[in-house]
Amino acid sequence: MKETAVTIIENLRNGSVDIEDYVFKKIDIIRKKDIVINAYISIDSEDFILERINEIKRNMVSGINMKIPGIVVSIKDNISTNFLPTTAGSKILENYVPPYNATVVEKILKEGGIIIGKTNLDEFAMGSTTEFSAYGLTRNPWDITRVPGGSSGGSAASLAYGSCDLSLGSDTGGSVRLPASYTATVGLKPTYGTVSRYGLIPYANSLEQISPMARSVKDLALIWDVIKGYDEKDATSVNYDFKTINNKTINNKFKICVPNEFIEDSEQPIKSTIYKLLEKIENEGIDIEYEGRFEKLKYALPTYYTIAFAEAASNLARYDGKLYPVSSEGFSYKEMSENTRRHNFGLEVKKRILMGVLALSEGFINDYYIAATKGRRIIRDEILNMTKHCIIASSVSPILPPKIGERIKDPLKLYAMDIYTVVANLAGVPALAMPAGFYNNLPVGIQFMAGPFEEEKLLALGSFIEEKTGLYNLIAGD
Amino acid sequence: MKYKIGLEIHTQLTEAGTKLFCDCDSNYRKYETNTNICPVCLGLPGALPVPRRNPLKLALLVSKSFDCQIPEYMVFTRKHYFYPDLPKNYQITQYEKAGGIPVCLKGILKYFDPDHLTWKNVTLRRMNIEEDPGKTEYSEGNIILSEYAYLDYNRSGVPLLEVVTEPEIPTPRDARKAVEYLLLTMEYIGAINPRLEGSFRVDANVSVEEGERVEVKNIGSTLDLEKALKYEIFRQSKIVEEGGKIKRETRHWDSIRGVTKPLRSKEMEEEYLYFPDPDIPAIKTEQLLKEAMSNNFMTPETIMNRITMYGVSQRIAWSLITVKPAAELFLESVRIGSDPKITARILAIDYKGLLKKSGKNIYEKSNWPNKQVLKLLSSLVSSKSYTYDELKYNILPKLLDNNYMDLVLPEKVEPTNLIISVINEEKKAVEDFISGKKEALDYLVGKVLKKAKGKAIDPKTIRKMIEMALAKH
Amino acid sequence: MSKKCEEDLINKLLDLSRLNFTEEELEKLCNDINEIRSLLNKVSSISSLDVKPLYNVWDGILDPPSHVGIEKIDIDNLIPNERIIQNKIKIPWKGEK
Repeated sequence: MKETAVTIIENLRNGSVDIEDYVFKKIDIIRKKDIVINAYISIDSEDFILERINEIKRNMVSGINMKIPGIVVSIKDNISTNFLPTTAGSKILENYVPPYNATVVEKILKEGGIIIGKTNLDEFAMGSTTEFSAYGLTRNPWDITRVPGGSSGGSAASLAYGSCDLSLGSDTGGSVRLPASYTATVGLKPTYGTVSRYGLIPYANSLEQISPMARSVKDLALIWDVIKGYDEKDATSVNYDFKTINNKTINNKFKICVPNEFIEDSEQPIKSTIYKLLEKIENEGIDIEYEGRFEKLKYALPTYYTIAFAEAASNLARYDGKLYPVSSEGFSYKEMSENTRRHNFGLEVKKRILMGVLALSEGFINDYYIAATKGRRIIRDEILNMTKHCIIASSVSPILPPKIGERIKDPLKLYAMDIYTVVANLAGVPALAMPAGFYNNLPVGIQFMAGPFEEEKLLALGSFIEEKTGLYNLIAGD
Repeated sequence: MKYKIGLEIHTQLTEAGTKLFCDCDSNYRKYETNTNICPVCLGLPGALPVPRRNPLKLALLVSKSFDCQIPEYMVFTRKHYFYPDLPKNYQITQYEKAGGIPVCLKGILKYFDPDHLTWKNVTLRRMNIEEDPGKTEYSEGNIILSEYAYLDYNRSGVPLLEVVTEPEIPTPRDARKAVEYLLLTMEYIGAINPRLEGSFRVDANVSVEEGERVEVKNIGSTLDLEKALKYEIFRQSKIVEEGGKIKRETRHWDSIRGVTKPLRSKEMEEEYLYFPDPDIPAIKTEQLLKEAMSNNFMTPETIMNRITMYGVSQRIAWSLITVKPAAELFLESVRIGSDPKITARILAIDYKGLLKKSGKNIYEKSNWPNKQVLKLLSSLVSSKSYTYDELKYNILPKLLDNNYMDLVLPEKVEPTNLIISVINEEKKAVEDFISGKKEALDYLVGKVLKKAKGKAIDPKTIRKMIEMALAKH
Repeated sequence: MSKKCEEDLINKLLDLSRLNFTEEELEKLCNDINEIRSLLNKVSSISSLDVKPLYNVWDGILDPPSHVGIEKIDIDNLIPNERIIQNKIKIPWKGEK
């Protein structure tokens, strides 16, 4: 059986593997590979890591129970840490060290996780390829001429080349699922409200969730268990009792449906890889229905982007040079604030701010923002209806991992990469992306969406599938 | 000339305990600069606003006191503009036209006019809760010319209740009285201490003869409000009389020079990109209001009615309720048997006067006599052991310094002998008085009081007795 | 689709976003903006539908807490020392323009 975070923890617990050995091996891997891959923006100092390791060893000795003791975790750099800068991939937050930790970071620390560094992302999580970072692009470990997907490309790549065993990203419109599918890793966008957003530098507050990533669904379940839960510091946090779900029988009697629109316009290699996988699991006794339709999919991208741009424009208004380390010169406050934004925001971010302002402005708001919120209700209701009867399977990306530079010249080409993933954010439902196979050595992923709070169903299905396919713990270059 | 006045009153919920969206202190005045801040009120990326229960409850109580239509749910919205004192460059408020729902949709501000001893009404257009920005200081003290500005965020996030009236306030004096009553009600509810500096500010809208309305900003006291309104009406009336037209503008009240001055006009109409705040779901008001009302709050009007039920005049009752500790003491003492009229007179007139003159804080309850003492005093007068005036001159001043229960009551003295001895000793003064020098009488009275030192004596009575005695000569 | 942006509209957006661009930057930007608008415009047909806008995906209701326990912070580590005078944050001002 291949080694995953689950087995590593067991070995660390029973002492057959020394935490220091294990962690420093990871540091070596980063030293060797990250110059090329550039998955990390910042890394903990060795002293700090040693201190953490000793702390965890002490806790283990005194019998304190921890869920992920000693496991190396990487964290997307839009999640606040008070021990490492948190830049959101932007120049405008260079050297910003938050005076507080995100709730999920506190949870990981409490459960013994060793946070090795902060991973690269598209600036403010706005992008689908991790080519928009102010700290350089991240390469796909499976093919360094290609992108790892985005915006959590750094997290996905850090897992894919073996530098860590668990990771946290964020998913606003597919930002964890798309990179997962391009790097043969797994990512789960949780039900909206189940993971605290306190500490997540916001892009689109009503759409995003901090999302766990790993190299297997079983590992994913570990970190999901650590980070989920109600948080009073987040007013959109949902107080859901997940305990009751274990009582419901997850009896492997899954029903899957594959609405036409969710796969038909994907590139042929993707379609065939996914259909092959579906056939395989159908043979294992799972009921799959292929005839369904989801005609409203054509509204998904306009609805999503209108809402996302509007919220983004609002969330980014605060960066004007008065409160953070980065600030440009200016005679007046107006000049200083304009210069700060001009010199420190990337072009993609500026575009989205302008579009967001347009969507909210007088004379346009009804036809843009308000219309989109109506469209959102329509899409949500239909997805909620569908997921009552089945788990929706779909392609994650319409295309294979593109070459670096290929998708970013044309905004519509870029946005089109999100067509299958934005739906889950609009509807609030959980969505899992996992490996379906390879084509020409390039990873192809498959996505499953379930009803609200049905993460356990997805994890059970995913676990079942990875056991059958053996497509887990895949490290590029192994 | 006919005119219209409408008001926008911004009140801080200074007594809420916490800021609106975080646990920092709602009363920021005692803190060093930038020490009453946290990630939320500083708007740090990733920090999230979570409305706190107490400010919401207080705002709902205020709504209830003014007969508001309280909506089933409240919704907060974001109002965007770039300004140094606004950390997020948006303010979280409640704007109805953008999907927001305020804490009061329509209400009636019923206020007391003490000049006419009558209650009056002003329609409230709405009340909404929002967060206060921080404070900006200008390096040369001047908002237009200063090279630098200095920011203090201690106040950022403090809960504000904005009260908007319809333009139906009859006179500048009514505006003052209405705002004073609003603040008094909020004080009684426990929402605000209106004597804290900067705890409220008023923007007034004034128009004359159905003309354009002018907004006057930066009015920081009710006295200034009356002055500013009078001035603005006068300024506009003059222009109209001379055939000119009033243009729609925003002006600024300069309280030192006593005039309104034009603010720099902005080239573009302000646009705020309002939309409902995605970090804050809707809030149901029913349970909050129930909880808030379970503490049995009372409005000034309720208390005034209770006081007048004891036979106290409206004028005196009003004088009591404007100083909350005095009203409370009144009710507490009559409940244990104090004579209402005597107690009212002591508290509302004579003791209040002494306190004011002494410079002590009249709003501090411990500076007033306690209920047992009041009961004792009132019984001394009602049992005719002392006259009210004897009490007033001899005992009340002692209470000012020391209002303990174990008051040493001054001995009563029959003044006739004292008067006779003074008249005999002060022959020159007597002669002066007889020859018409009025001041000589004061001198004689003073001498008697001096002789009677420590004993209960009443200057008015002494004066009359001396006059009578000397009249015989 | 016109290549140029409507000048008034663009100027308003720039003002409301506190952003500015050079002429050449604006030209390239306008192309992109028009393209993006063509995507977003697809949503405008929904505006006439009688559907309630969705702001919180679960139409959630909040029960406000009394106290959450967020700790106060210092500005010392947030802002470089040159910009802090007597513990106040210094910025250039000189009025709105």
